[in-house]
Amino acid sequence: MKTVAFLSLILGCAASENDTSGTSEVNNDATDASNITGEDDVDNAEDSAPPESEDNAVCSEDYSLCGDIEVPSGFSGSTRSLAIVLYSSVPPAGPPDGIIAEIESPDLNAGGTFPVRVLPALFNGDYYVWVNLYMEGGGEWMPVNGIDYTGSTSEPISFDGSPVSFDDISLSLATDW
Amino acid sequence: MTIRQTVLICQHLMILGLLSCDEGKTAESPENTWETYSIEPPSGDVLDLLNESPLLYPIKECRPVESIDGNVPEDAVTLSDDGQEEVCVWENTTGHAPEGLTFTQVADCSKVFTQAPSWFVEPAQMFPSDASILEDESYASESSWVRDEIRGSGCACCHASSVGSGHTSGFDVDAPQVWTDSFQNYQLAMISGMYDEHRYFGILDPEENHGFSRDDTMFPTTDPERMKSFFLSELERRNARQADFDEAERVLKSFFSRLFEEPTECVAPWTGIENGKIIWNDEGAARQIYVLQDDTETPGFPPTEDTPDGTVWALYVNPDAEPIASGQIEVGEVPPGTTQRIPADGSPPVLEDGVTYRLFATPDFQLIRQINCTFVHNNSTSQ
Repeated sequence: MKTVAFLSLILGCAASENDTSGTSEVNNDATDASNITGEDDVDNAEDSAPPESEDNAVCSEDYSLCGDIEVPSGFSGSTRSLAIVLYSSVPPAGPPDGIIAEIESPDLNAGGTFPVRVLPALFNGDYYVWVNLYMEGGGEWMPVNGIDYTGSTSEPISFDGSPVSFDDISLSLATDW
Repeated sequence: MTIRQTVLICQHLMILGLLSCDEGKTAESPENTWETYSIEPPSGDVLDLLNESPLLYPIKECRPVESIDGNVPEDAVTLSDDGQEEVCVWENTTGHAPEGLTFTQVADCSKVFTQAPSWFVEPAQMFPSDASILEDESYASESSWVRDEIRGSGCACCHASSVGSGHTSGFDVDAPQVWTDSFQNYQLAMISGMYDEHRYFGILDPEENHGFSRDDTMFPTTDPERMKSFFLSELERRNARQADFDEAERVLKSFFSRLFEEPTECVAPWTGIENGKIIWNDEGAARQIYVLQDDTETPGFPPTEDTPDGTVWALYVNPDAEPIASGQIEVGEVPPGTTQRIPADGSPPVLEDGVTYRLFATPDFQLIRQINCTFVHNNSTSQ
């Protein structure tokens, strides 16, 4: 019971643009996670991977948060951690208003996407989704220019208990930090 | 990455900062130039405090006058219970030493380090002033006065390299020549006192703080108008633009936005009270757990903002104890390693049946909240 109660983040490995697996197709095509069924992709998915339909089923649930993070085509290097947080205004000017997820050493591929499927996201109000990807050799307290990556939604999204999805967040090399 | 590290995702490192020793040089020293200026990152015990310690609750610490290396003003001296002359200072970011003394002459920075951001950013010249301005006696006098006011405050622990705390970061009032050059324009606006948000850091009663007030300015001072006037004149000297002021206001508001998140209703099975235990949807553990009347302000920084009127129950985990995880504690329970702050007399909190209350918990004062939701108390299910 308690396991179910805790934040459930479905961590699919990011797929590259050239990946022909079903996961890749779904992730790269996903712009509105709540509408995706993923039925066509289940057959092509590896046995160990969660079916996409299960991944995306959460996106129609109350208190869900779904969207994708786009990895740049020139991406390389070893990831250290991925922080997905909420801010009421950007660029960040202090501690985040909420933490969605912190993922150690995420498996990301150039040109791929990283699906974010969260249930529940128990926040109230309008927030930007902000992403910091820390790379080996990069920052610990804040992104290091030219090494780490950042990205955010272009507009704040409203959390009010209903299902929430965000447009793709494109990661880019950190600058101006 | 820990939650504490995560909350340090901060672009505009300001307000409360960092430290290092560079004793012997003053800002006016000819040999102290931006070309030769450098601040070492914190290390050893200081680094441990910054990175590893939970917030150490601010208290007023007293030391024998005879142990102070400096002239303690007579009106700052009090008598201890055993009749010994002593000087007492709040070891807090908003605390201040008696006039004429630096903070580190009469207080220790250990607690302050845990109350401020823990990252290090070496101060740098953000604005290139013509150093000849220091030849203007009026300017030099006001600049020195403001700097001395800041050196005497808890802010000096992280923002005045001359006091030798071991950690100077972000900006340095002992930076070479025109020390305000270590600020960007919007940062100067933030600390000027133009915006009331600085009050959310907390305000000690001047009678408790050697006459220093921070009602109207970011840094405690005995003359708020004089300090504010200096910073505003600095902005004018730099031809600050409206965009600088807009950014200052945005950053300050953003810094405290967490204080104004409206609570949701608790949502089973993720948040609220389940089988009598307080639960939240986070694997992280809490160091402060509250039950608040429904319309109570969100608890903020200690020691003045953390138990707002309407606090029904406040439980703090002691710094040397492990924080409390979801599902481990009932309302009113005081396990070993914790201190009940409210009710202060140690009596159990009184909750009325059918009344809506708010649960609030945080990993460590104001960092971020783990639960912020309302529930209707029902004696038969919540106890």
